[in-house]
Amino acid sequence: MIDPREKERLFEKAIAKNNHWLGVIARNNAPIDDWEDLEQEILIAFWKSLDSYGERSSLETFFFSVAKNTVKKFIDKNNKTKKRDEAVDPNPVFVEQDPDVLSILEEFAGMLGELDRQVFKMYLDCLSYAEMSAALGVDEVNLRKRISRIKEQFKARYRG
Amino acid sequence: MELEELKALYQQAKAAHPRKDPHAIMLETKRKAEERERDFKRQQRTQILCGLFCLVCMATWYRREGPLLANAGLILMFLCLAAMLAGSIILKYRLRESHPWLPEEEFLAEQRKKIAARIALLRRNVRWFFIPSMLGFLAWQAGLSHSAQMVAALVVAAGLASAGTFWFYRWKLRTDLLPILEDIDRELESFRNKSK
Repeated sequence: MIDPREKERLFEKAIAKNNHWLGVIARNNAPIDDWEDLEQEILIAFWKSLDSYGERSSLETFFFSVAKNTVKKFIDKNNKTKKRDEAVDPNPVFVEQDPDVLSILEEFAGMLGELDRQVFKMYLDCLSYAEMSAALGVDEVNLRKRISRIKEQFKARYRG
Repeated sequence: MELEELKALYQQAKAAHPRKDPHAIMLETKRKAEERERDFKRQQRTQILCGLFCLVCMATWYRREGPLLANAGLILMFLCLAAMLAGSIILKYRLRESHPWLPEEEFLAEQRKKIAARIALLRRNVRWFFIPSMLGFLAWQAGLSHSAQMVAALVVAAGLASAGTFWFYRWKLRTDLLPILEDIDRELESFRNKSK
């Protein structure tokens, strides 16, 4: 069991370094309404996990492992709720609403493939090509091509 | 709308929710984690107390000089309920342990084990404890030599309770546990395929 003060220090250190990534991870993996919930789940899981942090890995690797697995758990839980909702109401009534920025974003992101969706959201988060490349393991030339294709797709759908 | 325009609007929306400093995040997370811990303990306490209350009530119904069949039924019911209560409390404590820092595949395997344990508990409770406890209930009531109509009504009530529980068990499995298990199995399968 880690010393409580040391735990707080490690937590703050990890968050100071990865606060931006925490937001990116949440936005990439949860629908708009659930961003904050996912962030909170990751933070709480990380906080609890720190008790077992034995410096077998770097703090950053430890943080990302916790975040990745928490996202997985969160998605599984969300899928389950979604499936249950669909089972209750197979023909839900949709209320017409003025499209806002976030719903356009979510709708368009939903049309993209898994990798393109992540690229798209990182692009919106103003990440550099180098940062995207490091996070996704895709080279920068490929990323440029993908973003240009995404821009064209967006134009074709929403322009006019 | 151009994508650049959307990006600018998105940045504005993001700026409306500025990120807090690490110390504030730490304090808030610590508070929420403690709150969850308290809630969990409170729920556990309530569950244990309710279970104990039921068991004590049943114990007070026991009469040493009562008919053998009634006493046997009551003891069977008591033991089944005690086993169900103990099983779910032990499992809840066991399931709390989570290791999200493990490699993805190991973490998924751990999650799978937890879901499998919940399914096993549900199955065990329904098949081996709930149905026998209903039989115990019938034996208890039959031993108290009620009228034939009363016994018939109790049989119907016990049958309905068993059917309801069985239906709940199937519903819980279908909508709650099996979908998660299938998702995890799919992911584990993809890991295995990748490693081949």
